[in-house]
Amino acid sequence: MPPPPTTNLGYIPPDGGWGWPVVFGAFMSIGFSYAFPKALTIYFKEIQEFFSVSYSEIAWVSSIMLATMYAGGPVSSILVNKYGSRPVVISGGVMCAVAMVAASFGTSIIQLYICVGIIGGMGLAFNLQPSLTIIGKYFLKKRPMANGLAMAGSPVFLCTLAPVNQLLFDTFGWRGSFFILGGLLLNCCVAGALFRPIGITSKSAQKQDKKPIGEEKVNNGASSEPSSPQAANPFSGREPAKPAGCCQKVNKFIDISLFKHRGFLIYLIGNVLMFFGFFAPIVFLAPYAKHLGIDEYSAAFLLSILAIVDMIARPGTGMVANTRWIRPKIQYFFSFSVAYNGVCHLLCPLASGYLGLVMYAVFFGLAFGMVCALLFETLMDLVGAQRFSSAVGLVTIIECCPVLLGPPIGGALVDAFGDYKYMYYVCGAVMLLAGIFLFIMNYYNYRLLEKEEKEREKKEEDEEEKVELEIPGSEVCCESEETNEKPTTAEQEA
Amino acid sequence: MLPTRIPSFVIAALLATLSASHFTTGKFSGNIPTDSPIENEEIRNNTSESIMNTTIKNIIIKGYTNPWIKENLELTHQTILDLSCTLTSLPDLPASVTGYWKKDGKEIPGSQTVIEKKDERFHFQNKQFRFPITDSSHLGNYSCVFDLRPEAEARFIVTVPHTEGREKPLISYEGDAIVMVCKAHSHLPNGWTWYRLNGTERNIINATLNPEKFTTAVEKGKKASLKIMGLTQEDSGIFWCSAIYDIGSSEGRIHLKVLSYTVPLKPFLAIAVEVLILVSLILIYEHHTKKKQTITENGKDSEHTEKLTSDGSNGLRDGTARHRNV
Repeated sequence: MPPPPTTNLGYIPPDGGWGWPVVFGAFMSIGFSYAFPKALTIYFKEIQEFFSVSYSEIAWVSSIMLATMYAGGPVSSILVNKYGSRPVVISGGVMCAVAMVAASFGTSIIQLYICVGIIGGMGLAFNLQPSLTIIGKYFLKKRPMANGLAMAGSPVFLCTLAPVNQLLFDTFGWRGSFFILGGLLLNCCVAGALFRPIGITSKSAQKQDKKPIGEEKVNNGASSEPSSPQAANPFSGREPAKPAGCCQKVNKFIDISLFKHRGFLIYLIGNVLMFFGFFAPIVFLAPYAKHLGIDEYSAAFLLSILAIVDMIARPGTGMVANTRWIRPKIQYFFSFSVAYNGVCHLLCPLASGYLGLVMYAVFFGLAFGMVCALLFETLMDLVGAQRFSSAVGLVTIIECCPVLLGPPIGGALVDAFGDYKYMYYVCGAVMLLAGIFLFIMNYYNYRLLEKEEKEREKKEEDEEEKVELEIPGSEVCCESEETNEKPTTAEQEA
Repeated sequence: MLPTRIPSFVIAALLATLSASHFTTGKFSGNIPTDSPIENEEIRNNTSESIMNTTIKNIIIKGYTNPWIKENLELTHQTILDLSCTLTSLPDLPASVTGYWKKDGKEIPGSQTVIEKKDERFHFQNKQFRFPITDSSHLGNYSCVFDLRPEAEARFIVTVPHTEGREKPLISYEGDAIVMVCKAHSHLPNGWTWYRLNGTERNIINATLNPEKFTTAVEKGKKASLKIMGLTQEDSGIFWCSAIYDIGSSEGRIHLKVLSYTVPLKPFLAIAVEVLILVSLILIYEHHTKKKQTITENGKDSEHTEKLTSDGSNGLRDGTARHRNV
């Protein structure tokens, strides 16, 4: 097991203890966030007949909800930076509940767009980001495992919400179901209650190192600097002169200096590319199966197989990523899983008959789970737990575009060629390209990080010769975590 | 069968005049269709039956199948059925066999025919013996039977296109509105009726008489919808939509349940209470453990600072170690 690294959090995360209930809370929050918009589709046929609208108009409800959930990322990040995870998740849960209850009394489709789509979407955004952030605060050594377990919430909730929704619909109709779903979403508040704030309290802050750590809670100071937003000029370590004013003000809320972070940019570009081809294959799996002549129930069963494999793959990937061989080079593992996804899709048209599609579903489920489990772990690995909340907000709002455009573009491809295989080829090629891009860029990034690390160590040794300082545990294992923070920690000590 | 032709022609004429009068008095609540069906009926009245379309269907019986082969025939207009069966792939076929027709399980008298074996198969078709379909009494199961030991049979199920209602109950709430949709299978019906059954009596739902409560609409002829506003408990029950064709009608069934608002409120309150309890439990537990922690912390204050400084010195030691190594 690698030696405990520094985290720039200013404390050593528990890696257990209350961390596991936090993982369970994150499991619930993430499950609701990802599974809820998809599970709502069960009501669409009925609502479509009730309001006499076309299917695409009703499908907008889900799309708006998903879009708002992603676009609300930065807002969520700002609030988490300011108030911590717990209040944001609880208010998110209340927002979702109010949105669904209001929607149950809706009299027009526009009201549904606003209530379910926008308000509900924002509520889910307030659930997603804080859950991811707080895992980084509670775990370090076992963080990939914790991430994998938490992300497993999505397929588990999808598998349970779908039959529950059907049952609610048969018993209560769509209005009653929306009303009760509002109640169910209140459970997000339970998840929020579990998100006990952690970090340096004011007492231990005073005791530690005589350095002005700053605010009482570390998650408050998550803007540009790990510990001292007030102390040194936040940008002194990075750029010599920065126009003060609006940029610095924005930076207090959300860390847009991340756009200068090399690892962050690599992650962003690779992921944007990947998401174009990520969701379309799932959306079209059942129609493709029906197109090949498979009956409706078997086609739906393919999706169930995918979900079950996904459920197992996510914690499994977390465990594998936690091992000491993979953890230091976790970016390679992520690029491998993205590329593996691409290969799966490229081989899909070769699958003939039901058995071939079942095998494809199994491999695809595995690939999908791997990517999802590592998706946020790699971001945490690149930018560090401190800046993660801002990073995830920025990433989700930019990813909003490919996530929403992916399935319609896939659909356009299917319509244009009249065959599903070209869509699979395109998606496979896109993901393979993204995987290769990530692999090459991360290789380059790791090399640069090693170089920077060596320079930093040399600098530190030179400084230690001059001044006796208390350096809290400067052993590094996950070098990529420190990245551009290195010069600034040196700056702090000076 | 000549004797049966004349009565059916008369029946057709009667039916035509009856349905014509129905359309003109506007009894049905659906959209009144164009005049062409009425015109066609009247033309048929005046000309001979040979103008009617002939529907030709054949079933091939290959050996003894279990169950017997069935073919569904969905008809919308008056027609003459020219049905035939071909029997093959049976061992020890005799040179000739007797065949007859059954309607709804009962042998049609006079339909016995002797069929000669030709090319190792028996083709049972009688051009003089065809089935006119002019009204709903002619619909049913027509079976051709080969009189062998055991019998070989094939069945033609002649119906009007079925209408799809809704299998699962439709749930709505008091004061709300609901839209019920019925879909006709494949062909355009002449009209639609909505009614409820009161025992055996039909209460036809008349939208023109009650426009604030009922609205009917027909979309492209194939989908009929009934919108009921201001639902009350009395509206709970089974609704029937009937698609009307020249030769009969087919029904779809929709079960409506009207609930009061308190029904979903109970589970909602139950969940809300559960959430409140869980949240309070978690927060109380947290408060409790924090209290314990601060008590022990205050006791171990000095130890705490020592630990921190030792941590620092650890780092320092490591730093110096590195320094030494270099």
